[in-house]
Amino acid sequence: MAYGICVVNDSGQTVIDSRRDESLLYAGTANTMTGPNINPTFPATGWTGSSLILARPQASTGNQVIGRGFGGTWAQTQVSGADTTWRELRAQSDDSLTPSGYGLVIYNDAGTEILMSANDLEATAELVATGKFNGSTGTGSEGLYHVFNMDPALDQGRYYVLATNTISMFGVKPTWQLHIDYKFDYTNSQIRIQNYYYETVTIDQSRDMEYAIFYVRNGGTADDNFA
Amino acid sequence: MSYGLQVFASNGTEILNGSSRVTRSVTSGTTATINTGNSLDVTVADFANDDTWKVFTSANNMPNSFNVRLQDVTKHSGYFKITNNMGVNSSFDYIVVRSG
Repeated sequence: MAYGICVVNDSGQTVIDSRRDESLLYAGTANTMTGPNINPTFPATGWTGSSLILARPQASTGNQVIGRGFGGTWAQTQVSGADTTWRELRAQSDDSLTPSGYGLVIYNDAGTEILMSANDLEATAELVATGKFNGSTGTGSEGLYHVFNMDPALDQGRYYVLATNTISMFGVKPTWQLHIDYKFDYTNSQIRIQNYYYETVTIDQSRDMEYAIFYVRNGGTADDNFA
Repeated sequence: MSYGLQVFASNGTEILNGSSRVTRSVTSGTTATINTGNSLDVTVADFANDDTWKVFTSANNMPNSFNVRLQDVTKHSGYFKITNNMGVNSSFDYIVVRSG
C-alpha cells in the first residue's frame, strides 16, 4: 500500500485497514433488562436504533435463553426468558469522536471518518465464534444445534451472543420452544446455537442465518460477576 | 508480543493485541418489501461468500405462524440474497459486518 495503515492479527485477519471504510465495532455500555416479559421493546431503553445488540444472561443460574420476540421490535423471550445484560456493538464512526491528546487515530483515506481511535476505546468485543444457524449436530428430540465451548478459565460473564437477528419464544406452554436461537449452559461451559422448532415434536429448521459470539474485554464489574 | 498492535484502556487493561479478531461496520439499511416466497439481492462492494463477511437481518413484520422457516440469507460474490419464507410480505433491516 502506498500510504495509510493496515493491522493484521497473527492469524492473518485484518484488524483495521485505512483503505476500507470499515469502522471498528466495540462494546458499548452495559444495560440490563428483567425477564420474563411479554413483547416489551428490547432493549427497553437506551438503544440508538441501528446498532447491533450483544446479550447474555444476567446471572449464571436460572433460565438461560437469549433471543428476541416476533414482531419487528426488540423483545425478550416471551415467557421464562433470562434476565439479560445487553450492550450495543457500536461503530466508532457513529460516535462523533473528537480525539485529542495522545493515542493512535486512524481515518479513512478521504480523512472524513474515524475508523479507529485507540484513545476512545474502553471495552472491546473480541469475536470468538461465528457461523450459520443451519446446525451440524444433534437431531431428533434435541434438534439441530452447534456447541460453542466457553473457556472455563475465563470469566464466563464476559461471553455475549449477537442477538440482533434472532427471533425466539419460549414456553407459551411449558414445553414449547419456538426458535430458541441461543441457550447458555454455564454448568457445562457451553453456548448452544440452535435451529429448531419444538411444540409437541422437534422440527429441525436449516435456516441460513448468521450467528456470532463475542468476548468483551474490560467491561468492568458488570461482566466480572461469574468468576 | 513480538509484533502487531496493542491497545490499552485508560485503566491499563489490554483490550486489543496481536491475536485479537474484531469486527468492523460496513453498511446497513432496509430492503424494499419482499413478498413471501420471493428473494431480493443487496449489492455490497467487495462482498464475498466467506466467513469474514456477516449479514444480520431482522424482519419488520411478524410471520404468519410460529413454525415457519422465517428468512434465509445466502452470501454470493458482490451481493447477498434475502429470501422471505415467513408467509407474509415484509421488509427487512440488515447490517453488514466484516471480520477479516
